[in-house]
Amino acid sequence: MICPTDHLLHRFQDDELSPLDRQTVAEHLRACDACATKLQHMSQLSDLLRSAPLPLPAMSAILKWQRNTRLLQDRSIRRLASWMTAAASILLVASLYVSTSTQAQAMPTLHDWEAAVIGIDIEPGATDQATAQWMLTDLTHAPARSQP
Amino acid sequence: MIEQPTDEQLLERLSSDAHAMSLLIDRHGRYLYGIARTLTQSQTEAEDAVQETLLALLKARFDGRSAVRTFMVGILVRQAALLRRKRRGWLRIVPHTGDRESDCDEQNASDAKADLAVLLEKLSHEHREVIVMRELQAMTYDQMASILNLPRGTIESRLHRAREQLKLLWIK
Repeated sequence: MICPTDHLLHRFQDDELSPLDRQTVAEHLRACDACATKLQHMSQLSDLLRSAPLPLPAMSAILKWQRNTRLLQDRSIRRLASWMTAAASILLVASLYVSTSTQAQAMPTLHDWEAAVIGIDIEPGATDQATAQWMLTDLTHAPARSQP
Repeated sequence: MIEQPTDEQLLERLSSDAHAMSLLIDRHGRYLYGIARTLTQSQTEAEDAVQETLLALLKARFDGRSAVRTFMVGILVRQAALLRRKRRGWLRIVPHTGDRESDCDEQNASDAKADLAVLLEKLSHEHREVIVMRELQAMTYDQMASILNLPRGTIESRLHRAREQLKLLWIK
């Protein structure tokens, strides 16, 4: 094998070669001192970079990060709470509406024979509410009618 | 002895537990700053990049394919690039007057001046970015490609060029 390019050696160093290519390069490195030395220098530079101390933040910066993230979290929780309140309100209104309409459907209608018995002029299928209204009207006028 | 939650568990609790974020900052804040400072070469920008990373973490979805720290560094690299672009736009309007240096940073500056940090400063941002991701964070080419949203081939050649440039600076 001819000497691998630096690009290939970098990929070898980064363990980014296919197993077959890796084996080929490894065999070459065992036989070629120049390439082995080159790889060694590459690795030295990488090791130096890894071992170099990283700059540290000021304590005030860490406290600022803590404070700002907490503020955002609190805001998110408050927003979530308001959404949940709104959702609960919608649910409540919806369930009240469903409950009322179910009750209205369940309300018994006045049968034709009942209307005939009490002798009122109510359309067939009228509700109790209509009957009650008729009774109220009739009772209001009742004393006047009873006068001779 | 109380068992400490893992980083993964802390990430899951982030949206509802302020203590989880506090613990993550304690564990990774200093490291993230170190990376940010290497990437941005400015204390203020580095602090802002870490802040933005932590805020972005609240909305980010961790897929578990890498270590939590690698995941955080990925966000940091993107946030640093975003801030850099914003800052470049801003600098066109207001001339840069330099950064304030904290006591801590001054102390570290003397250490950092030793060789490599100074060499890294001389690299372009794109080259510094790939060097930091590969050498300091040991990311794979695929991880880097995914974070920078670039083809793998571009990452390979960029990293190669960055190393060549660094080697030249090192020899000088």
